[in-house]
Amino acid sequence: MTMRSPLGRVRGLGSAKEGTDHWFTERLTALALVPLSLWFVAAVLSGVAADYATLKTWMSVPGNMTLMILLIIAFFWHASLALGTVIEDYVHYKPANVGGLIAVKFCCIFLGVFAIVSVLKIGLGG
Amino acid sequence: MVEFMLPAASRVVKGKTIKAPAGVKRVRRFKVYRYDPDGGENPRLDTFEIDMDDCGPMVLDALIKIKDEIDPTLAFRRSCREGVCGSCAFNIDGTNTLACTKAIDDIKGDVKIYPLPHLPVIKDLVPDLTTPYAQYAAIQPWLKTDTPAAPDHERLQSPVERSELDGLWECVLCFSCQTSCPSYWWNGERGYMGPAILLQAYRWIKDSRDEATGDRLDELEDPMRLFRCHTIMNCTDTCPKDLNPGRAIGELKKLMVERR
Repeated sequence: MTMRSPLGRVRGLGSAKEGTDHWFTERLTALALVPLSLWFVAAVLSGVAADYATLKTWMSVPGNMTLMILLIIAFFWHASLALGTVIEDYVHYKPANVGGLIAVKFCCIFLGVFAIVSVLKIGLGG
Repeated sequence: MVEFMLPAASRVVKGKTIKAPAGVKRVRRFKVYRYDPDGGENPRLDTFEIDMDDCGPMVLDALIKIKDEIDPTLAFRRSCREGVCGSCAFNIDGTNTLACTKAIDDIKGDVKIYPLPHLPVIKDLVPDLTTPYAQYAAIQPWLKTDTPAAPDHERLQSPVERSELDGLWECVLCFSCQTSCPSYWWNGERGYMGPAILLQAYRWIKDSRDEATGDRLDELEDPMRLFRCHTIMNCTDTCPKDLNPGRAIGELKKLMVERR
């Protein structure tokens, strides 16, 4: 039960004066993922991952390694923003909301860095 | 978590059935949501059989006939009966629309009428619009200027500038779009302004006579107020005036990017 006026309730803490960068980056990473994903699927279908030696040779080409790293960055950046939005939308219990947002950020950063390190190890490793 | 199921006390149970008089040839069945806040009982779905040879063509005609001739306790809002006041918005046949402009013949089978979704129900088909009205007040829906008006004529606008308000000024604030938006269902009480209010905000931002465009954008630039729109587009699908709130919100987002 609150005695606060509806207008006071709606105005709340005021505008955060942010959100545009988040929205724009989400669209930008989605746009980048279209060609990068198509390239990645085409590469896998063409048999570059048939065995480790083939993959290693393919990954050591600078263009392939660059595109792989860009794909990983765009994917996990987009996933971090989008999964965060899902949690903001549906998880209203504050501790779970904040915990979920932190977990998503940490997981995406860990998995993204891990994937990049793996690509470098395969492509550059002896 | 958001609640995907209605609370036990809000679940709709089967109600009474009022049969049409014997000998009636063209009968349509209207299933109407009923809730009496003083009764302490769950909401129910009453069925009314209506003689279509003695009823107007629109869903509102049937509701008025039910109230006048069968059950005067049925509560619903209505006024102009021609789609300009925005009072008689209900969820009809699964879609939010105005009962006065929805033809009964356009509906197959039983005509199901519920209140606008996801708002508290005051009684029967009357939802509590306190929050949408407060959100409307929050965007300050009036012309804001610092330049004094000329003493001998109104504030001028070119025909092109005036035409930019087309598709915006026609909104009758029926809140069909507002209550069709899943994002508004989950986050309307947590700050999301919703499609009807954002279309109205854009109407003033787009008005060439208004001098508070930047302040208005400042007030909207917020992860909840504006950016909770996920382009689901239920708003545009359901608008009984064929307006496009989804496009208005898209234009607001573009203005946010443009002014960075």
